[in-house]
Amino acid sequence: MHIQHIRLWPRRPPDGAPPLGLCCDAEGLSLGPNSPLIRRSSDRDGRARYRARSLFETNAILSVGYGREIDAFPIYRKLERIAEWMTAGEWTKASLAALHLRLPALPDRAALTRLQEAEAILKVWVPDLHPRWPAHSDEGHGGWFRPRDGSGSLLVPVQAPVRIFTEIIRRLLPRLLRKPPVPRPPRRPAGRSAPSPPKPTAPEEAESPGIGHNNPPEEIESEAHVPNPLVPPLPAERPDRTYPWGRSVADALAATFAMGNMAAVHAIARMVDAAGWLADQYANIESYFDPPKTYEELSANARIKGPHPGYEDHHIVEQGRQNDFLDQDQIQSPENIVRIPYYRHKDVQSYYQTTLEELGGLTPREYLKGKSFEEQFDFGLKALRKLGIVK
Amino acid sequence: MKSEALDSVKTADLVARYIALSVKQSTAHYEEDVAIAAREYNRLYRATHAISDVLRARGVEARNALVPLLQHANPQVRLNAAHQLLAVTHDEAYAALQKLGDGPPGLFRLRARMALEGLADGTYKPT
Repeated sequence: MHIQHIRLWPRRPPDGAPPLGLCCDAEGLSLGPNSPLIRRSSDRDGRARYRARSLFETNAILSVGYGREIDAFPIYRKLERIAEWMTAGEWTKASLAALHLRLPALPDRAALTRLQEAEAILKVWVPDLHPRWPAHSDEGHGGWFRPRDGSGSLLVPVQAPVRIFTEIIRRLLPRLLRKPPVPRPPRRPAGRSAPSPPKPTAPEEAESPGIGHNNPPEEIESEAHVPNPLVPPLPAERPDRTYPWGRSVADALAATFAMGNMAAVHAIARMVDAAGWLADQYANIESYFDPPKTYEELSANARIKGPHPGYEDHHIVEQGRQNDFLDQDQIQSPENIVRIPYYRHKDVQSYYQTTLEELGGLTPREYLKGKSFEEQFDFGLKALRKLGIVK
Repeated sequence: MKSEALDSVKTADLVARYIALSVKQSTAHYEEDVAIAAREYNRLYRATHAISDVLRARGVEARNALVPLLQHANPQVRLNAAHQLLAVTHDEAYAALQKLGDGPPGLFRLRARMALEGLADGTYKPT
């Protein structure tokens, strides 16, 4: 039987090694030393108050830390309760409840680095635009925003963040996070073949054991599916065509997330925000990271009227002269149309026109020429599945 | 470059060209006009094929010069090399296709999975 010990960690251990698990003390509750799940603040009378971090940010932190997408909803109420006990000074209850969250230790120190980078992404405020009162300030509103004119006479509501792309990345964070890298096996010497049995195909998406599980963190995949994981520096001036840059940024983000390289993710976000001219691609970049959906969902989405930035309607059986012999009503029927992310649509359209080895040097369009609607539909749906658009 | 001209190029240089063409092919989809993107992809497909035809004519050893490409950082390089090596070093080439097929959503995964399916059902017979 596999036994896993769950424990609380001292935030600053005597040996200087950083804690890899939950720290529960007067500063609050954190994963590792610097990623709070419950934060301490002060009320107007200077008394310590503890508040759970937002559910969104908790999802992001846990996902980044453990290297898999995690929904913290099942434990969020417990976090709020622990915060209440902390505020009431009931530390025994708070500590025991923290332990019973059953959050395992982080896999390694690299997870702490990822968390640090994630915190930088989550912190999207520009200090000049959103100055804060110092924490625990004498004025009794530590951590609140204060007016930009420096008068300090009244508190102001939080304003919209100005780093738009960073904000998009922040929103995508829990969804996008892949697993940190594992070392690659050593290369074989050139020209020598040493066959090994093919490994069984891994399931496309492993089932999540959920929060509080007792399993160790999974082994992680390192594949980076772009030529260069770092996006080429964006030009200062807006180029004529922004599409290639949007694709390039999307691919770079996918690769850096796949590698768990949060520093690179942050650098890309900063660069895009600093350039400022890629805004017409933001919706396309964001939709590029949509998880697979069912055919029914995608088909239903295509029936919704109105603008749909970042998406296009795709005919599973292609329109065009090559299919003039088919029933056009069937081609234009709602069952044949799905609404998919814009870049993915370009991919699948392009795929139909590219030469494939496995089709004997034909393109899918050539291969499907003269085939029935049903055969073409099956092929089209299969391509959408293998592309990762349809579940 | 015509195959007669390629005939006089050293194997190592052919492999270097093969890599360069494949890397270029990997970003063909950065073109928004899909017809242009596909035309460019197909042009590069033919160019890489011309090289692999020359390597094939030189024998197994020359063909095996593509084996290290199965570990290349660029997925298109790995995909192209895997197709060319399936008939020579099947297991390694097959494993490279599987790895691409297990990768994140996108064109490389689609192409790898389609190839694997063709191999499984016998419709794709690499030579």
